Amino acid sequence: MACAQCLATGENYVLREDTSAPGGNRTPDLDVRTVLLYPLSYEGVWRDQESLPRVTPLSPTLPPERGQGVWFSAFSQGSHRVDQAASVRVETMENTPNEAARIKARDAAFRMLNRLTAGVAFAAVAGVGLLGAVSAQTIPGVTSSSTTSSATTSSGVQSSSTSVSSSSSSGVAVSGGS
Amino acid sequence: MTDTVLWYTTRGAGAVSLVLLSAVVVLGVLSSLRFQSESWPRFLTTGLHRNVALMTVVFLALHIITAVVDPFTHLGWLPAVIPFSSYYRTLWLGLGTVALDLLLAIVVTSLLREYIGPIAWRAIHWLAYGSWPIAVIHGFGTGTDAWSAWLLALTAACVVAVAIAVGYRIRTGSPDPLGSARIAFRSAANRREDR
Repeated sequence: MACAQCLATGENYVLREDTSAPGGNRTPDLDVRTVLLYPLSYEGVWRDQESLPRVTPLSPTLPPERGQGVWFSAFSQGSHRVDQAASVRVETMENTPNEAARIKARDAAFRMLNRLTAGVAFAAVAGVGLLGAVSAQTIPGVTSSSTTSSATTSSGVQSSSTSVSSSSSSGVAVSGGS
Repeated sequence: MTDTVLWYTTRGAGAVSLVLLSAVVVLGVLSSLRFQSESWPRFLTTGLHRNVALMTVVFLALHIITAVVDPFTHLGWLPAVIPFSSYYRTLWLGLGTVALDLLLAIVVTSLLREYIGPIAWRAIHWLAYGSWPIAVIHGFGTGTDAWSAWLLALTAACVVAVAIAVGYRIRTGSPDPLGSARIAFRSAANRREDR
């Protein structure tokens, strides 16, 4: 039997009497369907419900009439709406060794992230102090008023009270902090 | 706190901020490349990228605060926010302010990503490619130690690291597994609109 929409549009869009599910796909416009969606086929196939896999509810406290499970099938969205309260088997990821290993790896990665972040923060704080000290010793073109450098002593012996000697080629002594 | 301590802290925090900012850019590029290995899952890159970016803001704040409160320059707070409004080294300091503003825009939009949507977030996030080189130029222009050997080596290491990451990113192209499908969809949608 053809549906009313199909008759109006001329599309080959046939409904099956036994399932009321469309015999074509739901996006018959090829231009859109081929690029947007993987061709979803909802062609109705009627099967004995008893032969379909059932999903057993975890909770034994569910009433019996609601604990019979539902059928997960790709051909009828209606079945997913039936008895939703008893529809899902919830399994924790620890149930399988593979999942447990993945959780362990994830936790290890989180610990590594925390350690790396703390390490970067510590290094940055230390870097401010270190680079500040380095910059203090390499200020270009600044002379110290309180420094007695080897350049100013007549004996040529560097004074022990000199704070910091400049690393610049000019040989000018600078202060490390005043 | 003496003036010189503030000055040294400004310079040290500026250099550290440059290193951190470079690390953020490299980690961001690695995130876009979907880099991962057995011992380095992908979320580690993005998590570290986020954490280091926030850390960069903290050290940048230290850099700016110590510069502003330093009585030698009398900068004031306005030049820290509004570019090219400083009497002191107007151009170079203004570039630093531009880099800061861009970085703040990136950080704020990243924190509000759920509200502004991925397209706007991505568009603003691309500003990072502008913020980093501006920060490097700011360091060269206004930095007291710009031509010191240690800062030149540090800046060169940052530039090389970012250049390698960005170059690899450009060479490999989009790693998006759905990229071709998106392009095909857009072209088909355009064809359909033309009918």
